[in-house]
Amino acid sequence: MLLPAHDADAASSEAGSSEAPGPRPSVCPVARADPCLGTASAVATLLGLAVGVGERQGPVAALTRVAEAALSVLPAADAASLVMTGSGGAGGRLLWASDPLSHALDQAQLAHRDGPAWHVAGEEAGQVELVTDLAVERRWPAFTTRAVRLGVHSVLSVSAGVLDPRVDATAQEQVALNLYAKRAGGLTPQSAEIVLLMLLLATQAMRGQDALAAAGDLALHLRRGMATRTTIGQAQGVLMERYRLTPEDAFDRLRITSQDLNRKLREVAAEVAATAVEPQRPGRR
Amino acid sequence: MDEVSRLRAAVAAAMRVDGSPEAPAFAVSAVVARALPGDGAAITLMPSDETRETLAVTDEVIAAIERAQFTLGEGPSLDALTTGRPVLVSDLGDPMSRAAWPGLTGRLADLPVGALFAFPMQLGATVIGVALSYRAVPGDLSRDEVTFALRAVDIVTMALLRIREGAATGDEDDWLGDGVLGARQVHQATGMVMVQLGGVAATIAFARMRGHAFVLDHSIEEVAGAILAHRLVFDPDEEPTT
Repeated sequence: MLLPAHDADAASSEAGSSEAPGPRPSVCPVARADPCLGTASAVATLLGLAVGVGERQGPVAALTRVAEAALSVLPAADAASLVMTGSGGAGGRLLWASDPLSHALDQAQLAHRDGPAWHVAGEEAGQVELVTDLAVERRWPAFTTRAVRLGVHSVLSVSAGVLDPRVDATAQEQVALNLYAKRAGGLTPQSAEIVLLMLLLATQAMRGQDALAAAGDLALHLRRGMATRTTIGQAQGVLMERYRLTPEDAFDRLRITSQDLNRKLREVAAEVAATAVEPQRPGRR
Repeated sequence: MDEVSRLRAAVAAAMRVDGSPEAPAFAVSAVVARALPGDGAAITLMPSDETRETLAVTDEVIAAIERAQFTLGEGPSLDALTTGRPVLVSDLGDPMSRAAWPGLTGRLADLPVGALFAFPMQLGATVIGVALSYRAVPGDLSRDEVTFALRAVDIVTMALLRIREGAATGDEDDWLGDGVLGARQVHQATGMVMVQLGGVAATIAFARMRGHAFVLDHSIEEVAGAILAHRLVFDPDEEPTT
């Protein structure tokens, strides 16, 4: 995934300073009725995210889990969605929505190819568009009008790139993760930091799973390779006994048969080892 | 440097040895076998009960143990393979061990083997082999020894996978070169017996070879050698002729 080398610590202290720590609590204001983050449940959600992403269902499924995790961790967020914004401003489609509300809002963005998701789209991954109060937002009038009419006043869009480290992201379309809140000011810079952190976590989890899966494939290949060695030996033995051959001559016979029949040597060997006879040659009855 | 880091470094060096295609695989296995806790150890590639290639042994005792396990088709290594879990036998002479592996415990009775510790070499659910160590005197491995052994087994597993990945293996999967002495002969002998018994499945032929080895108190490798030398011929009617 194309995330900038994102230093979550530095960024969150930045976010904290924009809310002026000191006399006013910055990160999770005690003065507010809702804590923005219940620590234990947030940790549990993040761990669940890492595990869930690790289940190798592909980049979009992974991003969906991030969106769901964000919804559960940010109480002010009422709906989430994923949109693919298309390359160069063309194309675009709605990938996933948590409920009809976000679906309708995404439709609005898609219809005009305009809105916060489209704004972050062309950028590299990890770009954020946060609107704390749509009522005073002048950009994207078609979208903001529709959103306010639907009761949504705060939106956060994050460009997620393509959550697949193996893929050349420059050729890929952009995916944007959207969060919508009914309450103005419900989504904050800290919400954005949390979402970015989750995207980073998901990327690492996918990378780890890719490495593990690659190694797992190697293990399967090794086993299959040993099975090949076994069947080649057994096939040699069959030919050695049937035709009174040395091991080397038996191997040569396998090789010649493989060439004549245009089949891989290991396949010919497997057949001989399974049937205890040579494969039929074409034209022979 | 701690034990594990030292082992990693030694394995990394062993991966770079030159020579025959199988040299790195044998070298890393030897390094790890020597490092495992116990009086001696072996590293054996083992995708199944009937296909085993021992890449390293540290002494004749463990070599004999591996031959016995392969010949008899029973033992801690096979159990570690099928369960995907370490099988730690602190006393091979106790009634539970003798009940679990009657053939093996009988055959090892005259050897200086008190305890056996088998660790599956695996990635996730895929087991590629088993590392086996023994102690002359019965007793458990300490917790530190078990922890180290688990790390060491992971290291050799990954090293072997990387070696195989980097080797230019052709259609015949020849990253082990001519392979371990005796392994290919066992398969060739199996093929011969398949024909001698009238075209039976390999697993039946192999079982007959094992039975013969058991009765004569030989190893499966010795039986295979005799078959290849035409000194031993199997017959569909029970008794093989020599």
